[in-house]
Order: sequence, then structure tokens, then C-alpha cells
Amino acid sequence: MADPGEAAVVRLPERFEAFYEREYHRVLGFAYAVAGSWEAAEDATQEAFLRAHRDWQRVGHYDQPGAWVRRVAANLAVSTFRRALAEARAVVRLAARRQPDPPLHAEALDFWRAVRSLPARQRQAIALFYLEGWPTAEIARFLGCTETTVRGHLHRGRATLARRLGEDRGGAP
Amino acid sequence: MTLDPRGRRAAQALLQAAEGLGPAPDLARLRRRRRRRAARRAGLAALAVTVAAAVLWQALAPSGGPDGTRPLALPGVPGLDGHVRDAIPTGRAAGTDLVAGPDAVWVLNRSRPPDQDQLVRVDPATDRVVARIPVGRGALRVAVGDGSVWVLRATSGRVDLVQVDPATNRVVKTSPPLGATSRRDRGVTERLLVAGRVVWAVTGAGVLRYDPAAGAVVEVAGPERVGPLSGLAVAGGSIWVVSGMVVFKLRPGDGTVLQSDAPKELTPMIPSGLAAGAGSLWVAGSGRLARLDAVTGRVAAVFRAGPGVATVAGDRRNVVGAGGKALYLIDPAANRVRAAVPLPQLGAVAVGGGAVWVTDEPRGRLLRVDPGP
Repeated sequence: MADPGEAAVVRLPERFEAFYEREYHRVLGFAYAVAGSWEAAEDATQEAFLRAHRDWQRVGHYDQPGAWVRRVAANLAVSTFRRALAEARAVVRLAARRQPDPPLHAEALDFWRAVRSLPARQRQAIALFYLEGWPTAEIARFLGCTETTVRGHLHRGRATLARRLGEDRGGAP
Repeated sequence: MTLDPRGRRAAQALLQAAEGLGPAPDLARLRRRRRRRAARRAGLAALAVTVAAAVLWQALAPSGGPDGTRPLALPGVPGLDGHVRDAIPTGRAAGTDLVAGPDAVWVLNRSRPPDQDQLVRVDPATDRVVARIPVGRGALRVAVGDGSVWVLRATSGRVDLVQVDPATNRVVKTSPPLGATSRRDRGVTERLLVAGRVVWAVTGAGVLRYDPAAGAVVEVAGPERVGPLSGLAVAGGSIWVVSGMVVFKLRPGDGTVLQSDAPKELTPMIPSGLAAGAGSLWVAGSGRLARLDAVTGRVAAVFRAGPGVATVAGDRRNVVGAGGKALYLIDPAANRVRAAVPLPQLGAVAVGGGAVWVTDEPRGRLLRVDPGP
């Protein structure tokens, strides 16, 4: 709804299929980064995209539909009940599983394990920082907080990671 | 070795691993799988309900009446006070407002960006959500009247109104800007009500009057702002506004101040809420409620309602005070608290449709409270 007297800028949503193809694996990676289980991550990612598809008339008009899907997927992926359910389903259909979990080398495994040991907001900020390379302003919009708060999350999160992984912290922020 | 290169390598490896799981699954297949799961869940839920009903029947039947039967009382919500009859999932929100009528209860859910704020319609006959209507961003208050639902929004310091048609559950119109509000005031002073065919709003800018038919916004010259604007109500054929300790009575036709008074009986209170109920006007604040004559504005009674009571709501029959983490059901015949209802969280409060309604924002639900006899 545009206010009277204001030039209305109408942003047409992209086709859902194109959005889905482009974002699916990135959202899946993000969901794994915060949940630590491929089963839970796949389940949550698929559910998040189904919800986005159902409400695409609304979600497609958002400035960042990708951020919306990531938030839904992250919330679903860390739901303990949902995670247990996804893993139980995985056990049931283990024999028919198309392929085993994809390999992650030890360095990456250690890194993401250390990320998951961080408090939830720091974990999400760090995952978006490294996986998506988002600027602090975008992470702030995603988390619903100020850029200063995001910088605090990133600073503390990276300090903890560096300590746990025995690394120097490197550059800003 | 520094953290950042390692983080970037780990991110790259993670994305490759995600792609290693294969292409994005076919959407139609996902939907089919979801339908199958939903059907399984519904089957399990039906089984659970049957078992629970059988257990309950067993538990109740032996202590039944002489003929071995007894009516099953409407159960309350487990874990909550017995006055709470139902908990309706309306969705988590960063904040809420609420208005209740005989045909619908409207919950305004404020969301965190990038989500839009949402107006959730609940049918009080079935306690089910029947519509969810996006209303843009910055929504603060909701009111009903003259065949429409109105939502007050404040975005970038500007205030406007969104008109929703309850017949179609769709937004039909947005008003011109009503004025400005300051960041300090936002979400604190705003009030909204519909009286006759006119929408009244209290904002940081003062009291505004919007006539939808004419599309005209008029800033009401009075009442002067002598303190925080803390209430807006219609009672006894007049519009009432509280500012600081002063109660203003306005003429509905043009907003002229008919009367302004700072009753000495309100001295022990810092007024923070105002509502019409049971034929009177009620002011809440500092744990007390004051009852005022709806025509003269004269104070009829002041009494302690409960610790932290700062809000009041009412309809033709019922009045409730709210504050802290409790709701206080008022006996208007005796001007005293009839029952205190402890709640886990107290959001917005409204009375209507034969019940008291309270939002529980962190749990994303609307609680239906039985107002009693």
C-alpha cells in the first residue's frame, strides 16, 4: 500500500522456481551450520521453502525473501522436537537413503562444531558472516537488532572461536 | 593462521557438501510427502484424542450422579488458572493489540522486519483463527466500528490508518497521513477508537479526528497536553481523554473540549489506562481503579485493584483491570475485585463476545478468560 502523494515503487517478485533453485543449497548449508544435523537441516529447509511457496504472493514481495526463508529454516532446524522427528524418520528410511551424509573435512567439521557451541544469536551472526558474506546491516535486519549489537555478536563470537580453535582472530569486524 | 581464512574455507566446504546432497528436490514431491505426513499426524492425533476421552470417561463415570451420568464440565487450559477457558494459537509477535466484538476478536500482531504486521481474526463462537490479514509495517493499534476494522500505523515518524473490510477480510483503504509521532512516544501513547462514523486517534502529536467519508483529518485543538496521554474512550455520548492527571470530555461532533477536570480523588494514582465499561468510565493506574460517571465525569469510587494494575478494559457488562502478571475481574455492582486470575504473561486485554481476551505474546496465543457470572 503506497501512501497518497508518494510515488509508488512496485517491486515484482521473481518466479518462485528461480528463487528456489538459486537459494536451496545456501539455505540448506545455513540450516546445517546452526543445527549440526543434515537430516534436521534438510527437513527444515524443505519445510521453509514449502511455506515460502504457499505464501509466495506475500513473501515474494519482501525486500529479502531469502532472509525470511533462512529465518524460518533456522527456527525449524533448532527445534528439538522437530530435529528428533527428522532423525527418527532418517533411521526408518536409512536403508532406502539415496546417499550417505556428504563428507566435510576435519577442519570444516571442527569449525562448524565450534560455531554451534556459541550462543544462538552469535551462532546465526557468525554463520551468516562466513557463509553468506552479509554486511552487518543485513545481519542486523535478519536478527531484528541494531548493527552495533551485531558487531558485538561477531566480535564475541569470533573471539570465542579463535580461542577454541587456537587461531588468531584476523581482521575486522 | 587466522580465523577468517579458515572460516571462509569451512563455509566453502559446507556449501559444497550441501550441493553434494543432490539437486533441490522437486516441489510437487515435497508437497506430496508433506500431505502424507500430515495425514499420519492427523491419524495419530485422532487416536490420542480417543484414548484420552476413554481415560477421562473412566475417571469421571464412577463418581457420577445417581443415574451414573454427569455433564462434562468445559475443561480449562492445563497449567493455567481455571478462569482461562481456551488458548488459541495466533502466532508469536513482538507486540500485540486487541479488540473484541460479538462476531470477531481482532488480534494485531506486530512482527519484526522483514515480516509484515498481521491482523488475526478469531471467531469467538469457535475460538478458531479464521483469517490472517497483512497490514504493512509499524502497526500499533486496532479498533472496530462503523462496519470496518481500523489499524493505526506509525512508520518513519508518520501516522496513518488502514481500513479493513470485515466482510472480505481485506485491506480496502489507507488514510492520508494523520500527522507525526516521535520515536520516544511510538507504541506508548497511541490510542485508537471509532465513535459513530469518526475515527479518533491519540498520537505523539495529540488528539486527531479522521472522518473517513470526507477523507479529512482534523487535529483537535484541545485537550492541551498536560502530561502523558494515557487513554481514549467513548462513554455517555462523549469522547474522553486522559492527559496527566486531567480528564477531558470532548464533543464527538467537532472535538471541542466540553470539560476538563483534575479530580482530587485521582491524586494517589498516576493514570495509565482509560476504558468504558458497565455504564461508567474507568481510569487505571498505580494499582488502583477509579470509577467515573460517564456523563459528568465525577469520581464515584476509587479502590485498590491489584499490584501493578495499569490497564483497564470493559464492555456493557464486564470490567477488568490488568497489571503485573494478573487479570482482576471487577464486580461493578460493588466496586471491588471479584477474582484475580494469574497469567504467565500479560499482553493486550479486551472484553467482548462474552469473554475477556488476553494476548500471551511470547507463546503466540490468545487466552479466553471466563468473566464469570
